[in-house]
Amino acid sequence: MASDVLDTIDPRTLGLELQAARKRKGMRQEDAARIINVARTTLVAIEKGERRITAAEMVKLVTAYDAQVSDMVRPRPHVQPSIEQYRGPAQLTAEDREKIEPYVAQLIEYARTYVELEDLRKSPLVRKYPAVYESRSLIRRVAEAIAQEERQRLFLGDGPLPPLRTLLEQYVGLRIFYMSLPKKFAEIYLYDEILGACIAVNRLHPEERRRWSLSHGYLHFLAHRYATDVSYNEGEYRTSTDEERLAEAFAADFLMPATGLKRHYTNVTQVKPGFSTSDLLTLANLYGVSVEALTLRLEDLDLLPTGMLKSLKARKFPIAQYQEQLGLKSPTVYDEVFPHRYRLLALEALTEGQISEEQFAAMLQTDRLEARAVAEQLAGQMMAEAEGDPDRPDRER
Amino acid sequence: MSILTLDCTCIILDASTVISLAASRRMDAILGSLPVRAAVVDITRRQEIRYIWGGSETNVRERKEQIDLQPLIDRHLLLEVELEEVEYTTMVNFATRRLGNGESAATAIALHRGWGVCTDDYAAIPKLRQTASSVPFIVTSQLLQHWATVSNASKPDLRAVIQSMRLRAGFGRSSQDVLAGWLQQYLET
Repeated sequence: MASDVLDTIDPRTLGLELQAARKRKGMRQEDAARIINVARTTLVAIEKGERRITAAEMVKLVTAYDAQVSDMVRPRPHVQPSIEQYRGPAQLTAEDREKIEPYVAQLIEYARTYVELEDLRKSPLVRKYPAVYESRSLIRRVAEAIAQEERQRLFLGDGPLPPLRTLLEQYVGLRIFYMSLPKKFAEIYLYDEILGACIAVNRLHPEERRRWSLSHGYLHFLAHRYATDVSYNEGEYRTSTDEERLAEAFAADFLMPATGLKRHYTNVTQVKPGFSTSDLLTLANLYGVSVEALTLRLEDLDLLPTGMLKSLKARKFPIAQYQEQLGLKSPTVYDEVFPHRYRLLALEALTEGQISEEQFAAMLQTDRLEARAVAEQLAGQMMAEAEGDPDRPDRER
Repeated sequence: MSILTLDCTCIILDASTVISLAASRRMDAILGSLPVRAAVVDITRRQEIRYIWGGSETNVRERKEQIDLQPLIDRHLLLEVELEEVEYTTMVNFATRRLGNGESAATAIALHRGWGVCTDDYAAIPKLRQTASSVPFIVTSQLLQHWATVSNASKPDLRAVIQSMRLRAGFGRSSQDVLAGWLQQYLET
């Protein structure tokens, strides 16, 4: 191979790829420039495609970004989600913007790799997207109407929801990643024509909070599909925009529909007087929501006196301790960074020799040792699933 | 058992091989037995060669153990190499074919310096062979068999080494290994 492939690649495209990789790493331009011994202005010129990069410079930069050279130089899906304007509870401060940007860039990269895996395996994600809902009306009414319609569309009834991540991935076709976001951030939502709708939920939050964040992000998909949203953890801000208030109201309606909740409440209070704290904790566990979220919802539906939550907080009620005594545990859910389907597609590509073990590890953002263990575990799961599959062609009937 | 014959003076070890050899607990002896020098690319060492499972035999995955290659480098059993200018260009060219940083760097160096590559990345090997047909590619089990032959390792000793590699690095699971049958007799308990 005598010729240099870098002479044949559009420098602007390459510059954008390098810039995205730097942002994912959260590295400033001056620090990146230092790695290849150039001035910051030269690095800017490289990222703008105004100065060609040498092979040595590229390898040094890309490895410092913990990225793969292959991702920079081979043809990849061109994506352009509208991330210039973050919508959110309030204007993001410059500091918060700097904090969250690497994660937004990472989410885009994960989704892009997912699409590439689908292309490799000729297995596109089926999108069952509803039309964008109209949201210009009274927030509470709109939230309830959208939640009811979505529950009907997905045949969910009005009871507690099944594992939400799986539901939205399989039956709607969203790309959902559980990322370790900075603590104050709860969720990122973004959309691109090629990637479709993508949501990152803060993996470090408890499952109840993650379900809430996912529902919040789902509303942005349903009603404000084409804008990027970054949401904060509760308590970190006061919901200030109609869009955010709608997302919060929808999360409550979608996770805890009024009719189902009232029925459960009545079932409890018919057989004994009053609704105890144990009942509250048990119901929160059943619906997979926090005790705080459920209490507020029951207050909102006039099933509990207003101020109950405040009173619980004032008494410093030991929720976690009480839950433990009652044997109420958060459900065990799939909370890996990557969707199960993503991991299986990567394993198939590895098994078929379409990607190497090194790339498999890079796709799962893990080291080679873990990658081998994951491959082994997934292969075992696939075999077990095939064994149990009644439609398997070689199965005797 | 056969003695390893290689038409090169140095063999570059890919991350998959280094991790497995580190898990053998006999890496120094294995490298010392080779008829050629062994090398590792600095990028691979930095980015990919990290851990083996370091827990007790009954629960090896309870913790990870960092791989430290420095003692082997200090004893001249392993050479750490960097890419030269022209090799960077070749590496980038290789990377367009969906090859990882480590494998494209190792193959680029091997191509320019007339060296060989040892890797257990069976998904990558056909692509690497196609990309650099003049480079000899071998797998870890061939290094292992060579060491066992020249050091006259006893069966229990060899079994302990191979089982440690399996347990601590997931080595020897591929049916595509040219010595899969030979390995199997030591993996069966």
